[in-house]
Amino acid sequence: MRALLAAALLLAACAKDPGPGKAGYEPRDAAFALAAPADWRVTEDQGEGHRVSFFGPPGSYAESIGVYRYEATTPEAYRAARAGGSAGPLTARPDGRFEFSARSLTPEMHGRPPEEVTVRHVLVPAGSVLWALVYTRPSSRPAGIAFDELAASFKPKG
Amino acid sequence: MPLRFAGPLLAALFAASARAHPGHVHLRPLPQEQVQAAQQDMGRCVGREPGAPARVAAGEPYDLKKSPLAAEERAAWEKLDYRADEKAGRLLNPDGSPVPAAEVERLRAPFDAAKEELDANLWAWLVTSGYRLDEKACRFKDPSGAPFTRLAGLTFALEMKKAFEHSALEDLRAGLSKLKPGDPVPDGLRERAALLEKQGLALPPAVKKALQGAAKAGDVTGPADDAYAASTRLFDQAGWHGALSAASPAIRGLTEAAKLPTYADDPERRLGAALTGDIAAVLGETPSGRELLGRFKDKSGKPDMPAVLMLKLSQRAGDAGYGQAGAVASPDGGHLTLNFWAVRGAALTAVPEAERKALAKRLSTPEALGDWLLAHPEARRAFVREVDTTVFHELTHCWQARRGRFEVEMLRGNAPQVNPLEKEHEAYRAQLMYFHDKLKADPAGAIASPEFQTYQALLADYGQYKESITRTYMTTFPGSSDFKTAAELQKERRRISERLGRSDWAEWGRQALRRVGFQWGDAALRSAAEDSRAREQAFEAADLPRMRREGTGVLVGHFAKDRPAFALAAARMRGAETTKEQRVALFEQAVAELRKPGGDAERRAQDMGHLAGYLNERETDGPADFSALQRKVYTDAANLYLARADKAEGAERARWVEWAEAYAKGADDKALLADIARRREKAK
Repeated sequence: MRALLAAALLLAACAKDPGPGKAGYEPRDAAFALAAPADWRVTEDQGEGHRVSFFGPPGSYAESIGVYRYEATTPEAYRAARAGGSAGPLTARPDGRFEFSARSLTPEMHGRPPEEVTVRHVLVPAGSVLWALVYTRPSSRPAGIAFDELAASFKPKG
Repeated sequence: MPLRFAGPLLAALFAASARAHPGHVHLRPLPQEQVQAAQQDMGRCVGREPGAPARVAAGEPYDLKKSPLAAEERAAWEKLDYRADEKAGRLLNPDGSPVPAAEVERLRAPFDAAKEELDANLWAWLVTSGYRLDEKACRFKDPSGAPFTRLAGLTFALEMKKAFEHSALEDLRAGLSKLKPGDPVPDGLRERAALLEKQGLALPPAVKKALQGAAKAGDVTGPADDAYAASTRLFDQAGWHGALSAASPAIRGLTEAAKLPTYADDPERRLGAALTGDIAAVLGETPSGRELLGRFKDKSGKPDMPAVLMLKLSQRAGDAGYGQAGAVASPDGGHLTLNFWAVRGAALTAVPEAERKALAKRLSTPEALGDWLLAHPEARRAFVREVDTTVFHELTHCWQARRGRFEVEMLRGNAPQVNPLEKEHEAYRAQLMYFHDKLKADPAGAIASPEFQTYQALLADYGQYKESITRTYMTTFPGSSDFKTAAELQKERRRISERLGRSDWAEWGRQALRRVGFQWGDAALRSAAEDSRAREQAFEAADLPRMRREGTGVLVGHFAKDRPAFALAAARMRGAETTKEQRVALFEQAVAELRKPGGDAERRAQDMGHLAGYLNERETDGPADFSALQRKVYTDAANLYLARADKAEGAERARWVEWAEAYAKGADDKALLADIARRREKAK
């Protein structure tokens, strides 16, 4: 987790320069490629569809972006399964992707009262696979640009 | 005045407490009402009485010739940078001036909790390490009964600061190890150091300055390496004896620290036995509780539950950090400490308000509250029931500490001081398995509790749920780590040990022994990581599918009558076993509910979201009026959120506008969307 993306992982496989402050990321099975902020912390393959998560920015680690892979599911079914709490409607985007946002509370822990977070799900259908890009930030904090940039760079393969 | 502390062992424990304590603490925030209740009449020992003695800067110098210092006390003064000038017979301040005799007496005197405040981390460490506060005198006593002096307090505080510095240096070194000397220093490295400093893990000033001014990684590597090596030497101060001990197998009381003290006296023992009985009764109502309780056995198979203490985890109720703790598990799994302030707050809010003031006065000490709890078993049991998931979580940590060797080797200095996130993931999922059993037994009670949303998140998507735990930990404790990172830190420690070993032959031998010790740490780390992976896989393969099947079944049954849209959502969750006929019937029932006018717009929009999602799956056709009904429900929700936006400001306002827009889009309400766009433009 401590590994900074820029140095750690399987990256430089990307042909294109990902741009300043960004690092290309491609998992071992090359199932997708994306560009992520270079100094965010990384976890990989944490179970149940999880492929990779990025935590940052380093001054707070208040935001996270997760990439998940699901077999044989639709955007509607995906949203339905995660509509606990308050979830907005699923909207289809002109680029063929879908998205919705939800609000939820973080688990109680360590003297920290539960915090309300806004979770934005961008869903990318690719054949029989549905990729979910999940951006979490405290609701009190404005959305940064990292997620939109990462989502724009995300390319499923195969 | 004897000073009683364990030198390097204490340093190791501080280092452990600095990073491991949070891992073993579940600080369930107290309801505000309970915090306020607990803050009434907190007793004398809250550091607010006037008359705390100030530092004595002038006066008759202390005479070393007349009153020589005992070796242990002298070591403590020297640790604080005082020096003994034997020739002149004077004890010297760090600036070289003689220390007045009155100042020596001040620092030798016991710390006075009525007049003085103690660092919150140090307070929590003392009470969970066998020190006890004498509530009448407001003085701490160590496990042997000796007073805790101001000098000991300063020494402990310094060791804690050094332990925090060591952790910050270790973190920086790990970040630098990914860079080449000519690489620019990424902003993220500086931002991370600043964040760690906010959490108390500050770099030594010289390294901080070097990091701030460094253009390239190589500019900061030298100062960081020097400071890290110096810090490592400090933690190696046990010399040959310490190195030999760490390199030998762990034997309790010989090469491994003795068990942490538990009960200090009979009243504590009596209360502990009663609370243990309550915990066994409450957790024992569920299969997962019985399974956990059954794990606490000694070598002969007899029950060996962790001791249950009730102590002040902070000087005052509501203090930052431990003041809001519910319970703390000891790093050796030997005891669980319930926070006196939490128990007291719950006891006070349980009685009518008219009686509260008088009771608060009576229950200002752990002993008084202990007596009251023994006399009121129903209140005691109610409190345990209120914090049962917290207790389950902490007992899981106790079991983790007992079953593996990782904590043992960490405390022996053979493994890095980390709080592995894997152990938190396990404790949280265990706590939710217990909640699952409670849901099956009492669906209404469980659904109304704060844990329900977290439980739903786990059922819906275990991967995303784990990410939320990781994110929350990273935000709160940036030092949080995983086993993979711990292995990287271990490599750094080995590298520094090799470097230190090049200085002379004696150091070479000592560091070689140290690296033998690291092998015990490596093995414990590997074994803990494999154990964690195996448990994780077993959970995903067997427990999670069962929880999904059973949990969704309970939820469908519970919501079917009063909230059919929720029942439908549960019926469509992963792992649910429902038929098409059941789902269609729930859909029709939910549509009929939405056709009824009025009701809460937000609740109706949530329900409609479930129905629209279901229709998109094309399992059934919607009724002819469905689109119109959907537009109406979503438009009402959009207007509700716009009204909220009008009353809010800043990020809060932006959030409601964002929600209004999402529902306006869902309703395809062009007029409303144009209105939202106008509002956004105006706000710019």
